[in-house]
Amino acid sequence: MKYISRILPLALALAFAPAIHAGEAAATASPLEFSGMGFLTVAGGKILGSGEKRDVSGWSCPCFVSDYAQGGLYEEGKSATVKPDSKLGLQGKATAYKDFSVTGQVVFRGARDGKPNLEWVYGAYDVNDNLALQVGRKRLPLLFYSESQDIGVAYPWVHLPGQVYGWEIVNYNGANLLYRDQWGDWSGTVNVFGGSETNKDNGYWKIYNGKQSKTDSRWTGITGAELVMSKDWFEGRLGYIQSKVQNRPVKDALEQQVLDDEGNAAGYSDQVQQKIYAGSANIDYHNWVVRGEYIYIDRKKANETDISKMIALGYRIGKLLPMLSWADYHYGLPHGYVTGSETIEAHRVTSLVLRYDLTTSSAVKLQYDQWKDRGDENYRTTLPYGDSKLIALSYDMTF
Amino acid sequence: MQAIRTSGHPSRVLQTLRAACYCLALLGPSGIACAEIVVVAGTRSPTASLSKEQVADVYLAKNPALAPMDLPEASPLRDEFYTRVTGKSAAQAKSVWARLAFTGKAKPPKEAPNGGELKKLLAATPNAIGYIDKTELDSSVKVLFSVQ
Repeated sequence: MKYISRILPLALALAFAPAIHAGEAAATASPLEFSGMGFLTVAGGKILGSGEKRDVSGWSCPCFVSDYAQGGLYEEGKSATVKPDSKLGLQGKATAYKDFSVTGQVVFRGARDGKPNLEWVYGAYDVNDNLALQVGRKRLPLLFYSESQDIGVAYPWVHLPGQVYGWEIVNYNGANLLYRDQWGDWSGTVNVFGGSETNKDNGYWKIYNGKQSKTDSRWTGITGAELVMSKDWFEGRLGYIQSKVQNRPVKDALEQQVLDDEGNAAGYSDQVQQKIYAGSANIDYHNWVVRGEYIYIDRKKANETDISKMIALGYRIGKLLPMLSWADYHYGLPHGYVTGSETIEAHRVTSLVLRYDLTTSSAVKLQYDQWKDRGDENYRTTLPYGDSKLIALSYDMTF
Repeated sequence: MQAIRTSGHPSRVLQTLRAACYCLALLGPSGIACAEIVVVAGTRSPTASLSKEQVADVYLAKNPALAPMDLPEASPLRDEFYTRVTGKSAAQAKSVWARLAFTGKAKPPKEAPNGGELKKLLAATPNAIGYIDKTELDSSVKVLFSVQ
């Protein structure tokens, strides 16, 4: 009921949204314009029973992680739930003299018990039609759908594959320079950005450290660039980001404060430099749909890497898109640092998705996922999340 | 803005056939013919003409120099325009815009309630383009492209 009482005011906001949207076109002559839009995903899912059930740091497993960043997770033995993937986002924009604007976006998530979260707030100056300077809080463009990962209408899946999109930091505070242009038959976007982000009590580390645990994560000195190029049926993306990474355990799985050797509250870990390389390729050729993603993260000082890849193949039949996708994550120790006591996390998800476009702005999706734990024995002993199967249904819309 | 392309799509004949079939499919019991769509701009627009590919680029968020304007989702002309010009359904195009508009990477098409209001918006916005039924043409707009 607590969840419903939080959602109810949002539904009312949704009901008034068409009035906001109508105002967008009506206010064109004014030097100051206000506009609003939003998105909604109502998604329900259930783990298909495996016959076994075990507690892993407060989580009932075998379990399925649908959203690492927000701690969205489906658990074994629980009834169907709408919490991990449902969300409502409201975005407002004020534009002055066409060139200056301020945009804010608040998102209410089931995974966060409906609590509002200000995920975007930035000012923008359009230098000309091609170039814009944006300053404030934005999504971090790690991969092709990273910035739009909350906009369910924008992608085929009920939830993006966590193997590729599962990171502890998904926002940053800073500035970016965005350039869009056409070169011959190619259209492209170049985006350079920099900033930092601290994500307190983040969902990502609750999955690893325990349901009741609290962990803060910090990425500082974020600098990066992305290039997106498209032509006819092809769209490709290359991205690079570097930053320093730190974590601070605040409370453990038993909600006990984490102390350092001297009995004080634990501080942040030493800074570790990371370099992130990402590539994406999308094909929409006649009715064929192909999506491919690859991301490689190197944290040399910590002797660790993350390697994630995803490939999806679909075929449009009118308004229906059936699609099959494979996503794979593998943690590695690339620099010869092998003691035999490390834990190697690895997992793969195979997904069958059916998306049907109800209207121009709405779609229903049905998704069946098979999660296969491919970690080494140490990992499967320490964190026995196990193999799981999930069925999920969603309704997505923008307004 | 890029120069007008001279090369066509390799399967142009197939596309024309597909468009013809689509129009036939729209023929209801009343026998009303398929709408003739024109892409227009205000008379103050510096753009003289556009190719089909250039119009598609504008409506798929690939050309930041021109601002696209849409008719309402309920308008049958909207679906027909997107299918015949961009080769994508209106829903597929909206999916592209949703990804870019919510992330500040493109400004979504403004929506006019009908062809008449769209022409008023075009008159006030020189870098904007829109699409209307050919029967709604008047002196307030100029034709940049006719959808065949």
